[in-house]
Amino acid sequence: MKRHAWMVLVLGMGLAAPGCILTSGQIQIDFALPNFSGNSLTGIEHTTIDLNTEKEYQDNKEKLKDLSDLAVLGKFTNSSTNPVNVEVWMTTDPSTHLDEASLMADPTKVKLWGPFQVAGNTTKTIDWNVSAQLFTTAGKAALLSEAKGPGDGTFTLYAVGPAGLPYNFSVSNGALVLVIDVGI
Amino acid sequence: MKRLLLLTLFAWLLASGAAQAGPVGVSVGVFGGLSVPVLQDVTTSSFSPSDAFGATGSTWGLRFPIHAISSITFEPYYAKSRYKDREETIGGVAYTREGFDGKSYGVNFILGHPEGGLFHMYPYLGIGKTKLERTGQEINKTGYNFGLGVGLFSSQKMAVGVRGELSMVATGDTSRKFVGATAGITYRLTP
Repeated sequence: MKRHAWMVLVLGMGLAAPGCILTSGQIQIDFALPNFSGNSLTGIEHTTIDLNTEKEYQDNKEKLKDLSDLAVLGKFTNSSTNPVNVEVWMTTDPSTHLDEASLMADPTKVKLWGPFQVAGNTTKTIDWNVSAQLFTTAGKAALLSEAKGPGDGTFTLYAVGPAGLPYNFSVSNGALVLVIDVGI
Repeated sequence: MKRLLLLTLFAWLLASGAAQAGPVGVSVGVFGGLSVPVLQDVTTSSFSPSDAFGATGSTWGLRFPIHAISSITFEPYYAKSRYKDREETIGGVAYTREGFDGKSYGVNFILGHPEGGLFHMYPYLGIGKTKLERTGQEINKTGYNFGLGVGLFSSQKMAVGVRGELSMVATGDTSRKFVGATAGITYRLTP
């Protein structure tokens, strides 16, 4: 029995050693987004995110292994009578595009999230679970690249409606939520 | 997956091999209890030690202890778990993130016999496959269990015990971890 106790102890110590998968966790980081709007006639707005300004990210950047869970949250208001499918795009380099056409011409653009449908003349608060499903594979990869490298942690987000169709919406109380896998 | 099947097969082979040398004790048991996520989806800026543990979930399942050799009991198991939703206010709006639903199966390697009498203790290690699912997220990876069981009651056919366990689902270089406390009852099919 003594020999068994030593085996368990040694195994336990090995698993608890720094760098082991046991000494890890999932840390949630919320980025508040400014209110922004998208209008097919007057243009789109953007917000540039610098992960390096977030203390939780700074503290865990070197230990970051993966992105575990993602969500875009907020209240979406459709000011048009027609339903709108909102998509969130990012440019991996900071940018200041003022309309959808110039965003789509940007070689660093990646569709991050969506579409999220909002009926005409309504405000809809997105459900976290629904939002988590709307991230694209390419978007997750681009975000992970920004968070973990080789990206520099700075990128720009845009919300746009469907190409070629009229739209007029705004987003308030917005947030980008990242859950990162970190070694401890 | 292949590795797990091989391990289970290996356990069965050992059990059947030993059966030729002596009687094999086979039992069937049910268990249920609590399971709590550890260090999952925490916010470090406002972190306090109690935040290391998420909302309590429940777990239940079946175990099949096979005592074939003197020092080790092989215990194939199947377990289900359900974790509570998490509510959080972000940007002034209240949101709910669904908790995981879990399913796992595998085999525990118990040092000694799990069906001893009052305060009979037995450590164990386990390996299996664990699937954790919630909307927009699925983890289907190898899981590991480490625990300690304590017997509470044992008769010729029945045994009752409790277990404390750390379960870990390996996700690449990191893991999702859960601590659990379960109570179980076992019925001996063969002596």
